[in-house]
Amino acid sequence: MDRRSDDVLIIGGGLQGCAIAMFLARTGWQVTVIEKNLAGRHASGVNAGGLRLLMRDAREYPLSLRAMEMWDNLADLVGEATSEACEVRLGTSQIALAMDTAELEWARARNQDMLRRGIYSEELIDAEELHRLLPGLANSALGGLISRRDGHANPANAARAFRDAAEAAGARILEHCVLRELKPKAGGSWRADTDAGLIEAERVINCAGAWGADVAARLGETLPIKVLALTMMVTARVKPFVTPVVIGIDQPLSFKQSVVGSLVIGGGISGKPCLEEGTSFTVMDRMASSAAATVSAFPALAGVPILRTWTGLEGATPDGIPIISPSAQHHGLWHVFGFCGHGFQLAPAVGEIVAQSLIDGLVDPRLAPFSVDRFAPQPKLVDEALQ
Amino acid sequence: MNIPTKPMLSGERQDALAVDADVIVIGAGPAGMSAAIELASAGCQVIVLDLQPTPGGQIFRALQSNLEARPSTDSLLAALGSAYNAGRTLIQQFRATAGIDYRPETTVWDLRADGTVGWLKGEMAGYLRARHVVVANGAMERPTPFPGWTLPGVMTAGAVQTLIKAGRLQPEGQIVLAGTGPLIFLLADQLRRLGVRPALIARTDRFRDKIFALPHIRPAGIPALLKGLGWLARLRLAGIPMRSRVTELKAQGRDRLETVSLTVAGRGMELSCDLLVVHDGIIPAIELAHCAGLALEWRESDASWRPKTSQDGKAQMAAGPALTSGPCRIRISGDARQIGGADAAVAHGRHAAKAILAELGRASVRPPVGAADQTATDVQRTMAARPFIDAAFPLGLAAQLPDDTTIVCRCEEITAGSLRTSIHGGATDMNLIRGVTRCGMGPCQGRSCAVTLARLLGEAATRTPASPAPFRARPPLRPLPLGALAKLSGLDPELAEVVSLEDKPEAALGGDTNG
Amino acid sequence: MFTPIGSAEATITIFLDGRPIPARAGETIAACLMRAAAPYFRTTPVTSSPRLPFCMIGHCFDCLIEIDGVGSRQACLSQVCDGMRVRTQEGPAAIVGGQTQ
Repeated sequence: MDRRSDDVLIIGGGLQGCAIAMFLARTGWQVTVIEKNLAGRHASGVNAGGLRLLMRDAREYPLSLRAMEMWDNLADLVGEATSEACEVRLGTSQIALAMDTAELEWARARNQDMLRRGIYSEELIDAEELHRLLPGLANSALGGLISRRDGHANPANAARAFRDAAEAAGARILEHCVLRELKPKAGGSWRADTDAGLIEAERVINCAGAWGADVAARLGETLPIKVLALTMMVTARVKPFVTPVVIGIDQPLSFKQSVVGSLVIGGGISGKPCLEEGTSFTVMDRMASSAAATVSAFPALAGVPILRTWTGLEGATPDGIPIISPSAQHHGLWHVFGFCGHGFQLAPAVGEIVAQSLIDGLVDPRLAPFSVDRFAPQPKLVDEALQ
Repeated sequence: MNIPTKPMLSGERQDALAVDADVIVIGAGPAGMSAAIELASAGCQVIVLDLQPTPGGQIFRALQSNLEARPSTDSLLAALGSAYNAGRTLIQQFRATAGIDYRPETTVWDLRADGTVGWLKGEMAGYLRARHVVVANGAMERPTPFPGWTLPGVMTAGAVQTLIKAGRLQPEGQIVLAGTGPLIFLLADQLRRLGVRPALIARTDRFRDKIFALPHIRPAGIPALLKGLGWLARLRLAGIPMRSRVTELKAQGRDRLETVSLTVAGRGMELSCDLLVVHDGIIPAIELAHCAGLALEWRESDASWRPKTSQDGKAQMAAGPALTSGPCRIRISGDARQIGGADAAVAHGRHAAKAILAELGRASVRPPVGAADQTATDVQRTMAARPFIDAAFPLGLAAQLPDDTTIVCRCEEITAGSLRTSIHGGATDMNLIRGVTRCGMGPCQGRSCAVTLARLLGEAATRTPASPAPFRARPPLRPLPLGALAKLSGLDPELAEVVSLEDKPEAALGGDTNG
Repeated sequence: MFTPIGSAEATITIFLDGRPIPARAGETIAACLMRAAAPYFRTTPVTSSPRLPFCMIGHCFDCLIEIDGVGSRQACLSQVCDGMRVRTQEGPAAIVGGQTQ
């Protein structure tokens, strides 16, 4: 059986795992990524592909701003040809619609709060500006928030791009490779029993997305993750209709036009997840509210047919921001998951910052809000007890 | 249209969710109509959903209106002959049977194993539920990718038949029929009766196939065989040019079909052509069964999938997780289950209905001893000619997989070459290839390309390919307008409870929200 | 390519790209336009290739066309109505009331 010793073993070949692997491998670290399916098969490759600063939790802003610079120069990161395939469109802007007075009030309060924090990427716009930017928008729309830098990319191709870039940098990517057992070894390193044999590594990064809490639980660490099967609907191709990405404030609305012309409609609604089997089902009963929100915002779309749907398994935390943190219980273990359906844009920055933190042996202060410590207090460092 | 109440059977556990009917039948062709008649006659509330405006399915398409329009349709009805007119009694009976809630022009876009059916009619959509569902959505013509098959002027034999039956139109100009299977000879004979003379019938089948097929002849199949021989004899008598062993069919032209080229027994020929009619047999339409999570089997000899069913049409769940729990409430009947034609579909519809009645405890009039066996015997008898037909008309136009430049996915215009590139690049299943190439992502949702892609994967496989899995099927199976989905009715209260992401940030973190 | 069997009995009118076309109540738009010798119903969004109906029973989606302002409708599954306005669909469907161009 194969036996190998790495600097880092990354569990999960999604965007986050591959981005971290890419940065680490480029500094010469020996990295293995194990992925039980294909890289990017779930939330990483199957999401709306939004590149937004808009409506981000303020705690994510430092990461999100850095990530935006990186998406803007994606060719530097993954190469010219690959970045082309990612269909990055920045500057199309993203707009959060206020369809009633409560949403408008919220938008105003949000805007003032952001300005107070010195974050200027979001602007409050009135109904007139809104209708100029979004022809076809219902008259009832009152205003909204816009982030003009924002845009979108092709998630499936981007997930593949980061996977390939990590591999090109020297990371070993093992797909269809299930983690059977993971154990800390005496002396602080790790031993993983996988479909590809035993892998030993100095450090382990849990980038297992929807399965992240399961991996943590196997090591005795309880992290509060709700598993969702976020559903997207795709319409027939239509002529250019909308350039900005449109999202709802309280409405289940997320809506953009893809490069090929189809409208991609989400809204954060979950289908039926089957975590153990690694699959999920579309539940159309639940998508009616998403369709209703879309049609009430854009009445002209009532006749546009939905052709297909997809779902991707994702983990969500109780406070709506991810876990990007060293383990509270084990040395040499990091948790990077629970991105709550909006980790796509963050991925390059997460990759860079986590990699740098590992190299420096110091947790970057920008990661402080994402610590596992914010959940129920946990006993510290019980490695010895487990052995 | 009668509105069904909620029928509740004595002694039966009340379902957690109210049902809209005892049975929902999908498709009003021979199988669907005969099942509905049988079920409703025994007192069941039956809802029949069908795409077309009048009952009959493709075989008896528009028969009722053509009969009503007599005498102006006399020549049309005469040309279509007995195979078409035979549907008259069945349609009359279907129309006359009380307890059938027939809903024409209704699209089915979702099916669940627990008996839930998603429907669309005009701008309205919803879910209906029943104790049993009979899937009788028929068949489709085998996709036959060849160079130029997307050009205007190339149509399937079924399409031309539909234009004759429902459009009251006949083709004109230089016509070439190409392919194999009974339908192409039936169509040629119908055209002959309409006074239309094809320039050529280009047959892909060989005399040798017929010889090899002879051992498959069963006594009960002889009438069908004689019918086929009759068509051929009349076509020969009429002097319609016919060639067999045709290969390398190509349709050529700029913005529409101009010429057809083909090879006959090794020699190339080219002729000018206005209409190229192609046919290569029919295969079950599996999308409903597949969406419901039912088990399918790939049949290499027929290069198609069909649902796994028991003799009375009872389907079984595929292995793995499912959306719904509980027993599978679906039966599949007619050509959707196994290609057999109209008579076999009528017999099987009745047989499946009997089985449902037995399960519902509704065999109200005690059947005479052996009657249950009678419907089973009828199924066998009406299928008797199939082994011969299958052996006599093997894959023709689709026998050879298309060359690299030929389009496989008509919607997204994906060629066999780009699919092969993806496969050689390591893509191992159809969903992956769909994601990479967009093959199967267009409006037809893979109906036209799935079987070809499955075979391209098999072509590249080094080991003997296992049963290939078709594209993952998720609702909606057919285009569903956003406006209709927005007003979706009949929601499952348990499933409909929205589970959603709660990641809306605080408006003012740590500050005052009123500021 | 196609001609009526007997008399067409076209007593109503639909409009294809503004041009009046006699239609028979109860027929599909696809049959009506085939009789009217429409050269194509739509062009594809990928290569702008012209298409006419291929299967006529709702499987192939080649007969997509704009009907009364709604694009990508299946002409083979839609019946004619007097005064109906049908438009050839060039590439992706247009959305009436709100294009960016």
